[in-house]
Amino acid sequence: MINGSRGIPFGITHPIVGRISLSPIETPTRDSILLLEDVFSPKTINPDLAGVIVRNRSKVAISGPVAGRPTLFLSDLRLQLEMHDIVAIHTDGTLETLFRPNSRDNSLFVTDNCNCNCLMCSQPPKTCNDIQYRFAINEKLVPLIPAQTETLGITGGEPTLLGPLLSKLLSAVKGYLPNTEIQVLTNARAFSSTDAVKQIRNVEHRKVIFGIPLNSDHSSLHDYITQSSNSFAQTVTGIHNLTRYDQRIEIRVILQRPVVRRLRKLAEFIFRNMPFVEHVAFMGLEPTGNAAVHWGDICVDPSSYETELREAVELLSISGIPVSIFNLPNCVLSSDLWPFCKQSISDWKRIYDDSCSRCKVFSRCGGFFESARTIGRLKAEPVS
Amino acid sequence: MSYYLLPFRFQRLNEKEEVLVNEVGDFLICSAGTAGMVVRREIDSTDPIYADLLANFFVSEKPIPDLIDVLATRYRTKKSFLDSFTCLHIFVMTLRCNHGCIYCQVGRRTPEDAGYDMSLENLSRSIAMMFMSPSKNLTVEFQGGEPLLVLDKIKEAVETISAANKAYSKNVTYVLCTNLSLLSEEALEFCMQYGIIISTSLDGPEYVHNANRHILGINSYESVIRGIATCRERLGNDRVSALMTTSEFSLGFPIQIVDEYLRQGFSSIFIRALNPFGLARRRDGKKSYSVDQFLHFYKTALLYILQLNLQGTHFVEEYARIVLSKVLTPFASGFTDLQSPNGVVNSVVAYNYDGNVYASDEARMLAEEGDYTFRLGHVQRNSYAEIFYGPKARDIAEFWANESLPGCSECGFQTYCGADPVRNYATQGSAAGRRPSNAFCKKNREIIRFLLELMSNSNDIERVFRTWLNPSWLREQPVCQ
Repeated sequence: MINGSRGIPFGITHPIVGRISLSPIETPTRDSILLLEDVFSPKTINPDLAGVIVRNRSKVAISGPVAGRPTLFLSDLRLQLEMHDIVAIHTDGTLETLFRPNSRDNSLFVTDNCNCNCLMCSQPPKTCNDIQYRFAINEKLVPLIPAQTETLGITGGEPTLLGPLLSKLLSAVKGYLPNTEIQVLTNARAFSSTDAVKQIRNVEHRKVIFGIPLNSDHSSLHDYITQSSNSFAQTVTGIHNLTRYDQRIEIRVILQRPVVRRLRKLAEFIFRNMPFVEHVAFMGLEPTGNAAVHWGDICVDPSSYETELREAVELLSISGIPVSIFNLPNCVLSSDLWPFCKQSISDWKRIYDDSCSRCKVFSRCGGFFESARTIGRLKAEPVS
Repeated sequence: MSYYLLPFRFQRLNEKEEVLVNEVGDFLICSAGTAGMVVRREIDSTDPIYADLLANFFVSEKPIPDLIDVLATRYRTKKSFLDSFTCLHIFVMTLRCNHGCIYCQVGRRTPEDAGYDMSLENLSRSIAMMFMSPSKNLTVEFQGGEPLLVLDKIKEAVETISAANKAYSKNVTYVLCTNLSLLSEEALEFCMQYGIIISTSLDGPEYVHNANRHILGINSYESVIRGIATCRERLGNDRVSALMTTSEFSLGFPIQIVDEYLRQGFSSIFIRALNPFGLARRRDGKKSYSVDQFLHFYKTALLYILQLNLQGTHFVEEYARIVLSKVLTPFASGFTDLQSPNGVVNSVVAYNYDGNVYASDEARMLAEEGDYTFRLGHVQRNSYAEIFYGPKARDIAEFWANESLPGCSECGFQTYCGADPVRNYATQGSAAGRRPSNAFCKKNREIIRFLLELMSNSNDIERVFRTWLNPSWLREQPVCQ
């Protein structure tokens, strides 16, 4: 399962954002992108169509757009596209899946830039001038998202690098999707400035939660992980400022070797210094991106930190802070921790081992990261 | 690289260990001598303890730590009980009582004595004064003597308060402190109607309880057990609580007293010493006991309770819970005796039957002995400002914060303890008190040390303590949150 592809563009002069429509199942609208399963010219085509995607199964040579509409010819047949998926077609022929109604894990991607370079980052940052471009894409995307969508993420890179555009985006989301729960993934460093927080507060979005990674209870270890000095101080200050202005917070702790010995102390730090957080998630490592590069330094077998994890989870849970464990299959943890495990790996990158079908708790297990297969970490032990 | 020191104090726990405690209650138990090493800059950044010192705000890598605003927020949180000012209002409705408890300090009168009930004029002025408190939450506690001797006045009080509250929309909680021997259908229905909480006294099994609490012609123990059962049935389990007082006779029966509370279906016990104690004889000549005797009793009971918890029975010792809330959570404690500034005036005030207003229960008891040092004023003759902010209140203010008391200002347990100027005065003749021989100090210092040592030796015990600090208890803290 992949999220993007590349084809040959014809007549695409600016990025197109549209909803996939499968002829002849539904009447395409102005926001639709017709998906044709092979090269042919349909008898009638709506002249207002945003664009056409053609799967070139017959592998014929192509010479121009279909019915004069902006067209993308796709030879790559791996990309799955379903009706009402929302995609972007860029002028260079790149095709990107932006939103899938059948997925619970959709996000607005706002930038590849970041002000950190975390050791475990699964989506390593790139320095590039993409903020305005991506904002324009998202401005077109948000109105097309179904209003009954339950959850939507805002992620990057680092969303706060958008500056005032972030509150603008949140306003648009609030307007079009007032009932959708929004989670912004951010390091909150920019929120050490209260002006930045006030802008967010002024949107008065009632359903936003900020998911913020915290690696440790002191700066040298946290900053080592983020590879950025002052990030600990700024993140903790940002967390306090967000709360000062009535924003909701989830703390995310990625379980990696340098931090696991101090998990319990981190839990205590969180309870003493930010008892107002709504949720704490302990997250298994995703072995991709920077994490794959630094695997030797950060990889750690869950069995070796189970005691520390249990103590941390217990401390927070007894103290009244909701806790979850993400991204770890049930078989690597003892059963007393299973109540905290959530099925958190995004559906498009979640896999199971063949032996998992025999497992007693298969139905509620969150599975493995697909990247675990590549790096040789897929070790399932079915529970009997 | 050298580090900078943040404000902290330290205290020896035992031969091997000491504890560092900072301004907001973060603590670090470490081997004896560590505080000295920290101060002399002998800790290296590669030392395992260095990270703990940073994380818990004992040292900083800059002269002003980056997270100083977090520290400020934590400090404000610890003192947040001050935000709402007086929230516990004690109404001493009558001095008449039908019991003769050996440790009574109320200055009680017999049920037949006249002239010791609160007049309606004083009641209405007291209520008016109560509503001038800025606190959103008010707890009205009816005490005596025995308040059920004046049920009519109680009803009048509740109805008046309830009506007046329409203008203020405060959250009012009613507590009735009663020995339950005069519980009537009328009283029960009234309590049901207004959600009144019953606070009664159960000193232990029958032979302990009746030895302490005498009432002519009636078995006090049987009467209170019956009363508890009736109140639970009619008002609900969560509407009935019991307190015990430790007499000299009680000292011999710590385990039996805990067992009695278990047997009666309570999930906690508040082990309270005599008030005051530490003197061979009290001012009224009655026998008392030493701090060491009380501590021995307390620890025996507490260890027994811990054993029960470790075996799966959830049962809490309330005094420990209050201290632990200051040690293990960032929140303020609602318990007036262990607050700094002390709860007198700041959290609690007592309106006596005769219209006099006292800083606390104990201040009123001093007045019964003829000492009016802590009488703040009179509801008919003084205004709210004169009573709550007047010269008497200001005099007490000199001594109500342990941050500035001799012996307390450098104490490692300062953040976990409090100040008690009224008790200091009552037992030692000065509101500042003399720390070396001060019973309040000795008791608290040893209890705090004991609790820290227990946690240091056992993760399981620390876990039990944390389960005592569950969020619903923290939220319910009676007074000023």
